Amino acid sequence: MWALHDTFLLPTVRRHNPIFWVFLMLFHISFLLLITGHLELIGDFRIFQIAQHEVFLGKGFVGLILSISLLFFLFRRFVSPNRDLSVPEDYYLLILLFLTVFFGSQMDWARRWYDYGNLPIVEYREYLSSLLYLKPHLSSDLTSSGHSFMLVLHVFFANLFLMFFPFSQVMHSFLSLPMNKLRRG
Amino acid sequence: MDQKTRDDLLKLFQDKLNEAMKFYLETCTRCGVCTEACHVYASMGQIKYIAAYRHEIVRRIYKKYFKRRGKIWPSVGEARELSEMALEELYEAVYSCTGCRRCMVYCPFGIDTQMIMSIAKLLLIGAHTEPEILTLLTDTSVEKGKSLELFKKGFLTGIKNLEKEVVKKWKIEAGETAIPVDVDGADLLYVALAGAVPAAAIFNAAGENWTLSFFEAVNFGAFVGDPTKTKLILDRIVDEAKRLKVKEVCICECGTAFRVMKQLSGKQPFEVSSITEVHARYLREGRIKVDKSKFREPITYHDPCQIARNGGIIDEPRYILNCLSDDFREMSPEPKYNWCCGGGGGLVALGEDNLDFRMKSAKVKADQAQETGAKILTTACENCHTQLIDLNSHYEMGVEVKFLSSMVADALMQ
Repeated sequence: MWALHDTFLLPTVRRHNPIFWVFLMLFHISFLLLITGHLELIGDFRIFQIAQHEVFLGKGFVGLILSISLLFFLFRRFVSPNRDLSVPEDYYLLILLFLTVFFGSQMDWARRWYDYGNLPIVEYREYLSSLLYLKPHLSSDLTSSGHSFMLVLHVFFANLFLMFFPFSQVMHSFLSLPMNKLRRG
Repeated sequence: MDQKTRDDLLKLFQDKLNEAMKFYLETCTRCGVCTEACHVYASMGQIKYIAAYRHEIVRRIYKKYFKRRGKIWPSVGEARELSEMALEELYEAVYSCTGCRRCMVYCPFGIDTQMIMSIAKLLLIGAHTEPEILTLLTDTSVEKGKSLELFKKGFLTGIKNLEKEVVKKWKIEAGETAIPVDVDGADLLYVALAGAVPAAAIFNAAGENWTLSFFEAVNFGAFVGDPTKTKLILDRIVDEAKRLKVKEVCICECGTAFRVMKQLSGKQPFEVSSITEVHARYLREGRIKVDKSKFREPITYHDPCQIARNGGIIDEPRYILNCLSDDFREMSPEPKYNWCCGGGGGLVALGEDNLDFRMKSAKVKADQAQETGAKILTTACENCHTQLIDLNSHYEMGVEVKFLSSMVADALMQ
C-alpha cells in the first residue's frame, strides 16, 4: 500500500522540491487524461463518460498544462546542477514529447477555441480501429483536410517517441512501482 | 587498459547485475531531487558528489557494455568506455560516498546508491586500485579467523587482563567470571571490537547468560566491497553462534557489522540485535538501573546511518537517553534525515590519508551537532565515534564524544 502511495503521490519530491512536485503531478495526471482521450478515439468507452464530456477531457487545457510542464522540465535541465546531471537522452525525450503534445494539442485547440469545425471524431475512430485490426484504412477526409499537416507531425513525433520509449529512462513509468515496493520491503 | 583486464572487470560487473541492480541502473531519470541529499555535496558543493552523478559514472559503463543502445548510439546516453580514467572516476565517486543512503530517502524511486557503488568497489578491487590499507585490514582479519587456535591463547590472556579492569571498576562478586568466553548454550553471543569492558559490566549487571565472541565485529570486507571476504568474516561469527547454540547475537557499536549481520546473514536460528537494542530492553525490563544524575549536561545523539536509517534502530537509543538524562536534544527533526558523520563506507579506516576530505565533507554534520547546543555528543558506532572525535577537534566544537553504551555503563547503579 505504501509503495503505491510512494509511486503515485511522490511524497519525497513534495517534501524536498514542492514546485517541481506540482509540475510533476500536473504533468502525470494530464498525461493519463490524454491517454484516456486517445482511447476514446479508438472506440466508445462507457466508463470514461461517467463525467459527461466531449472527446478529449479538459476543454483543451490538458494539452496546455502538458506543454507548459514539459517546457518547465526542459528549462530546469538547462540550469546547473541539473544540467550537469542530464544526458542527451533526457533532452531528446522532453523535446520529442513536447513536439508530440504541441502538435496534437493544436488540433484540439483549433476545434475548441478557434471554431475550427472540420475535425470529425468518426473518421479518427475508423482509422485508429482499423489499425488495431491490422487492416489500415485512412480516409481521404483526414489526409486532405486543412489540419492534416498537424496530424502528420503529431503522429510522426509520437511514433518516434514510442520507438524510443522502451530503450530510455521513460521506462520509469513501469519500474517505479516495483522499485518503491523494493524500498518499502 | 588491455582487453583481457577489461573483460575480467566486465565479468565482475556482470556478476553484480541482479534484477534489483538492473532496476536501479535503468530507472534513474536524473530529476535531481537527490541533489541536496548528500552531505558531501551540501558541504563542498561540487557536482561530482551528487548521488545521481555518482550513479551516472557506473551507469555509463553499464550502457556501453550491457545495453545495445550504448553500442548503437553511445552519445545519447553518454555511454563511456571502461578505461583507466573511468577507474579513477569510479574511485573518486566511491571513496567519497559513505553509503549512508540518505539519497535513497530522497529519491522518488528509492534508488540505492550504495548498491550501485558496490559495483564500483568490486571493479576497483578487480583492477587492484582499491585503497591498499582496506584490503590489508581485510586480509589480516580473514587470516586471524583461519588460525583461530594460534591466536586463541593470546586472546584469552588479553581477556583476563580486561577482566581485572571490569572487576576493579564494577566490583563483581568473587568467583564470578567477568568476561565469559566460549560458553556452550549461552543465551547471548556478544561480538565486540577491541575491548569489551563497559559491555561486560552491563551484561553482568543484567544477569545475562552471555559469552564473548572470539572474533571482532568489524567487517573490513564490506568496507572494501569484496563480497567473498565479507561473507568469510560474517560466516565465522554465524558458525560460532551455531556452535554455541546461542539464541541471540548482539553486535557491538559497529554500524557495518550490525547491518551485515542483520541483513546479509540470511535466515538463522538466532536473533540479531545491536547493543543499543539490548540495553534498551534491559532498561525497559528493569534488569538494570541507571543513575540520572550522572550526566547533567545537555546530550545529543548522532544516529549512525547503518544502525538507524539502514537498520531501523531509532526509538531504542532515545529510550535509553531519556533514562539517562532530562536534557536530551534531537539533532534532526526526523532521524531518517539525519546527516551522515562522513566517516562510513571505510572512509575512517583510511585514516590520515583522507582526513582533510573527511573534515571538509562533514561540515554540515558539525554544524548540525553544534546547533543543538549539547555538551555531550553520543553515538553507537565505532566509525562515527572516531569521525566525530576528529570533527570535534577540527571544528573546535567543544563537545565530549561518547559511546552510548559507555554512558550506560558509567551510570549503572550497583
